[in-house]
Amino acid sequence: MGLPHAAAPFMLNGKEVYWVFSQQLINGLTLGTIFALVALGYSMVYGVLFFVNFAHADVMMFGAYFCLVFLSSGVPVVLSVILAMVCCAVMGAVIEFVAYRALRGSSRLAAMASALGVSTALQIAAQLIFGSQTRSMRGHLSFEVKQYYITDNAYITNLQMLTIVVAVCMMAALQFYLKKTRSGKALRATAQDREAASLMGINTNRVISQTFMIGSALAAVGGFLVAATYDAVYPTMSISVGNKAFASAILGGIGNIPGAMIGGVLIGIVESLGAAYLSSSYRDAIAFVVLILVLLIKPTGIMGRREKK
Amino acid sequence: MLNIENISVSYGAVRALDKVSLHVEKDEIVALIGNNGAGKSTVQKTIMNLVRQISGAITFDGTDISDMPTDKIVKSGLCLCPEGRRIFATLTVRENLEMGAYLHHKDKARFAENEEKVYEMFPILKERYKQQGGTLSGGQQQMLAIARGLMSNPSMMLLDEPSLGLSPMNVDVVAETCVRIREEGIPVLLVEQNAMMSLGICNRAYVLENGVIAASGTGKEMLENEDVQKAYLGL
Repeated sequence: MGLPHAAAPFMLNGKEVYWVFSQQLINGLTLGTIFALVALGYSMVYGVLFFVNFAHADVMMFGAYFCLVFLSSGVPVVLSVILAMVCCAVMGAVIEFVAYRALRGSSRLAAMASALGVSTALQIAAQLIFGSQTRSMRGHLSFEVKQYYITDNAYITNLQMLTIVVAVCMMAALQFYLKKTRSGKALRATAQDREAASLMGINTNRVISQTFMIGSALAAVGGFLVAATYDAVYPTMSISVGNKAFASAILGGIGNIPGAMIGGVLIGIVESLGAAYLSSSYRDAIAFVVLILVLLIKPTGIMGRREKK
Repeated sequence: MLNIENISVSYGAVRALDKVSLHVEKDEIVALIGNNGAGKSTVQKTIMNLVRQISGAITFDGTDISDMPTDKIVKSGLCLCPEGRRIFATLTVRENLEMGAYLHHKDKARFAENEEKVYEMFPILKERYKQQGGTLSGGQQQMLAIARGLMSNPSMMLLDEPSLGLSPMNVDVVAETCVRIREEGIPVLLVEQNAMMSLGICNRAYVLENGVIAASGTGKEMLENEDVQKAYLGL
């Protein structure tokens, strides 16, 4: 157990290369599942309304704060996350109702401008309510983060295992919901053809509300996991994670749900490997370089289909 | 049963319908024929409140449905199979049928009964029930669209251009299906460019020209009407 564990890109020879690689793969996979969780919200809303909800990442940031508030008032971890999911779901539905519903008939650009406004408003609200200083998340967790060596020189932490398990369970639950339940099928039908869905007697406004609620609840979990991973909660945390989640959604093919999952994991892995092998100062840029390269070859993203409208 | 009185509709500055009145009674197929752009589809879309009228009233079964949201109108028993079929391409055939029965999900027995009935009408759908809707041929997609509509247990069906783009054989299937639907006790308002087919099976017909009802009468009268023959039957 006494092995060095810091990722060190300059140790690129022999055994060390292997060490960096498998370790970065684990880190990247963890990060990627979080990106995927947040990317789902972007993709689902785009799938139904054909516009990018820029405020989505800020809902994620609020999710992290909600968790922090509940945890620091003594609520157990699992319950805190569930409560934060509920709060964010309500928040998502309210944002949709207040900021987007009235603009349903007008151009998508109007809704996007509204989304940018909501995003800024939420960030400022967070600064006013919670202050702009960075807060620690791990201190409130009921468990300590431990490392488990799975090979001689690569480890996985219990937090990383938890992250992967939680994120994968969330995504499996979402797939089950969409494929097997009546309202999940109605969501898919609405995403495909809103007018035809309304002709089936589906209340499409309610479906759209639900879409925002589900995406926001997943974002709350994402927010908690990001905050625990980096041990930091701050009002502008939405920017970097949000951008990468958005990039993941586009990489996978925006509007496509399995695509968002694949895109997230890919961006996470590429970012971690890139930071290790190239330079960690390019960390945030690497994901976007990959995004541009993929879009040059396949403009609709990995799983995307050509838009019909 | 369905009563439309003096409805007018505008798309921006363009008047699409001008004081259109028509009615559909029990056990009837009513055809609405006219050229492209005459406003036929607009009539049906206005009934379903997908398009708003600027004046006039629409009542169905004695209730005013002019201002009802679309899903409530569907609930009241009206069902529109839209132009271009608009089936859910990435949902399976069966899921499409489930969406048709969306409002009656609690009545499992009725779902099974209706499913049986539409499979009997269109056996090809039963063979392909697991396939995605988008993989079906045009004719099969039209059958699916009608079947999906029937799953909602409608008390009246509105069909918009069901024969559009179909092979002559499939046009016959659509015509037979309309008659069959009437026999099931469901009246049909049929919008068609194919005047020969629709006038042949309907009880009454309306001719729509530039947003105005230009003529109306029984199917036979319309078939014998010289203007209609010239303009729509190519005789």
